Amino acid sequence: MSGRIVGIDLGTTNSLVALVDGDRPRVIPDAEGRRLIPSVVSFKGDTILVGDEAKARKGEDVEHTLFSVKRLMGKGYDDVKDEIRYIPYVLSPDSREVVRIRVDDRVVTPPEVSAHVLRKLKRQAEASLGEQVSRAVITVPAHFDDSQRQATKDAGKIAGLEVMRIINEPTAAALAYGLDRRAEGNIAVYDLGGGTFDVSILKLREGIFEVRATGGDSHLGGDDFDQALMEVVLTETMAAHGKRLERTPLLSERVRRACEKAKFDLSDRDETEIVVDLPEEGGIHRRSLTRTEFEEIISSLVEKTIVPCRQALRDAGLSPEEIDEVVLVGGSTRVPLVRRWVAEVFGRAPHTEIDPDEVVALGAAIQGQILEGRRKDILLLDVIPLSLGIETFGGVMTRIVDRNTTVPVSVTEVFTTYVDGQTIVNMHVLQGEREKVEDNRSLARFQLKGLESLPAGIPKIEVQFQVDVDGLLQVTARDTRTGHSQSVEVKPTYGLREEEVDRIIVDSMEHAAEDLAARQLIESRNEADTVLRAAEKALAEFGRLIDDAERKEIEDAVAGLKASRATEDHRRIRSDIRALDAAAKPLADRMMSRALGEEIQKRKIEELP
Amino acid sequence: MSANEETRAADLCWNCHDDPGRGHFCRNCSKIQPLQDGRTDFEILGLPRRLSLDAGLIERQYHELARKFHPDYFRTASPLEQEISQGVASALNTAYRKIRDPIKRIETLLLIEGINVESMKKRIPPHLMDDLFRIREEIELVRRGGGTPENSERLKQDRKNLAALLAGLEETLKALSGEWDKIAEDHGGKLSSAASGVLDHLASALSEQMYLQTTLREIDGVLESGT
Repeated sequence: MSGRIVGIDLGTTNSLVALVDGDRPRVIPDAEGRRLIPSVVSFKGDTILVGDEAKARKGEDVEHTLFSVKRLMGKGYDDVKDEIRYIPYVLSPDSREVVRIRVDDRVVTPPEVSAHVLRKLKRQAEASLGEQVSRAVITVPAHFDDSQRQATKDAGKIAGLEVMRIINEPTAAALAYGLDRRAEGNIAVYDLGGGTFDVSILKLREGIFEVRATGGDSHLGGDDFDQALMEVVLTETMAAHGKRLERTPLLSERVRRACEKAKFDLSDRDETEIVVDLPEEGGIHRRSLTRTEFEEIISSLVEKTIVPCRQALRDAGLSPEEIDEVVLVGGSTRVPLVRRWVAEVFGRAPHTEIDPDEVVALGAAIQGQILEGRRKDILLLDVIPLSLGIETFGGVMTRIVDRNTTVPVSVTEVFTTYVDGQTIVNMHVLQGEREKVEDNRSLARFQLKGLESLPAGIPKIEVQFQVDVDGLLQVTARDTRTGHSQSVEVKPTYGLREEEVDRIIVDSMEHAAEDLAARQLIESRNEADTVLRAAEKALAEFGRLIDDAERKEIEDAVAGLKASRATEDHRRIRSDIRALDAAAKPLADRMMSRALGEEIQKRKIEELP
Repeated sequence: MSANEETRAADLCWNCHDDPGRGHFCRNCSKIQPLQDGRTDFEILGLPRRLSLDAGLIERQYHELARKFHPDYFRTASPLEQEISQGVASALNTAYRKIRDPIKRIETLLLIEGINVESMKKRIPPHLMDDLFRIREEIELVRRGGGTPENSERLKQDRKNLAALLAGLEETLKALSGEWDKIAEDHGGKLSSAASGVLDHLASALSEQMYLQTTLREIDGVLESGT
């Protein structure tokens, strides 16, 4: 498989796709010229709406419209139960390992929902490029753990994309920013999106982008600002309208929208008005909101970003004065209070020249260009955001790879048995910074089987933990006495099994007839273009080799194909391609024999003494 | 003779089955080669086995090698080449982590010379035994929430004393590092009795440094969570 590698920012609120054209990355808009595609999917009968069309239904059909699923990626029920009250989804009972969302009689997982968004972006890129797009770099928050990264990769696979690399959002932003500005030195990236917060400290030197430290909060973003404001407004609205008003998902959604709009307004105004429609009550709730009031409501949330910033500085071994530049990423950094805090923590005004909504996708596109082998002057050296380890005696996590270690990394540890004759060793792989097992993220359990039956402590099994450049862990084991590789059976704690991903892909192929049709249309149009170009060139250069009737037949077939190319009917295009092929056959045959003739003549001349 | 040929077979290029030479890429077919076994972290980075190395030099060396081996540049190569690049890049990253930090660098060198400091670092420095026992008890007390403000105050004072001791130790380590480098320079790394004396000094100073560092972090831990 070849072709271009696009960069995709799969966001909590919005997603976008970009590509490097020439030597500059650019965002690829959809047919209507929209650059940001809302990460919203709405199920309407058999139709699946994605993007703005789906978002429009959020206010009227909450139950069938899924948003912010990025917060649920790679999670099980226990992880999200606190959040569920904010998200009007019905979860299916078998959500322990993977959140499963029920929409009528359909059950979908977050990677599948994300795949709908990815598929839309893929098509968008295909329509713009006029060729199939099957490879992508997808970005994730830097602090995403192994399961969340894997879930993102699964989403890509389900959408029919080979995920060439998972890269961290702040790193991608630094790449786009650094190249644009030819920056050198230490830079801090402060990335506050819809649902997640990341901070990364990088050192830039002669095209090398070396991440020194990263940190963040997986549950902090603009959605939380909306939520905080919404709680205030919702309480007021209900108080103003008495008991008659129920806190339904629909009411919450209306209030949330009004609050979100007020938040946007206050980015460049000092005061705004919140208006909540209450059609059932035949009324409207209005209140004014000043920027100061809004800042009071969200100040504790913004303050929460400060601790990870200081930690990242400490991990990088740098003081705020040693930071040369600060880059803002994510729509929530438009909030003036956020900018003031950032300026305070790093002791300098942050850069805002590049659109904070687009910079991540642009960086991903540049990484795509590197992976295509078309760019050798730059290199990202990224790190693993959270420590990896295993459970050891007493329910304690023993670290094997420390956080902020540059990837790829490979660490080998030697294990042995506790009991005489033990032939199986169980291992529990964890990710996180805490001491106790239950405070960390369980990634997988695995078993080393088929060990030689020996006294306790005699077997020596080398277990290798390899973290690749995507930040994904792989475990292999080897018996050092025999040199034999051990079978390692890994049972991921969270996430989809490989078989399930494959099944979903098959299902989606069966169900997405229109998806296939769209691809076939693009392919048939591309083929039509090739055939048309060839026919017209042949007619111009070798038209004299055929008679008028033959020429007319070709010209008619060309006109027919041009007409069908303008339609949406790929079958008609294909049949007209075949018709043109047939009409052009006499010409092609004569061109061929002419070429052969020339070849023979040439050889004859060369063979002459 | 045949044994000799066998060992040589393992050193042949995986692609063209010829002698790849000593570089990172085969001299005949220019394919990436796995790292040869038994290379020290200094060798992996292409640096001399010295303790006083310039930080800028280490970084430049690392970046230059990363530009050659990073898996990003092999993403569209064959699976075997991707695997080799991941292996070499992993070893390079590990070597950089160990050599970049002057303290870890000493530890790495000692290990190459057959002294495992890791196993020594839990040993309490004998001349500080009494103080450290008291500090440990105090840490435990504060950690369990049973500490009085006086305990915390004492720990803060201890922290200051330990930090001063650590600074002194780091000076000692720096001086010993210079001594080692001079011996290595003069004797081409051959172990003399002077050299093994310096190594022993380095080992004991380093294990003490590690112990104090750990204690310091523990004090910071309890003081931070207390406030």
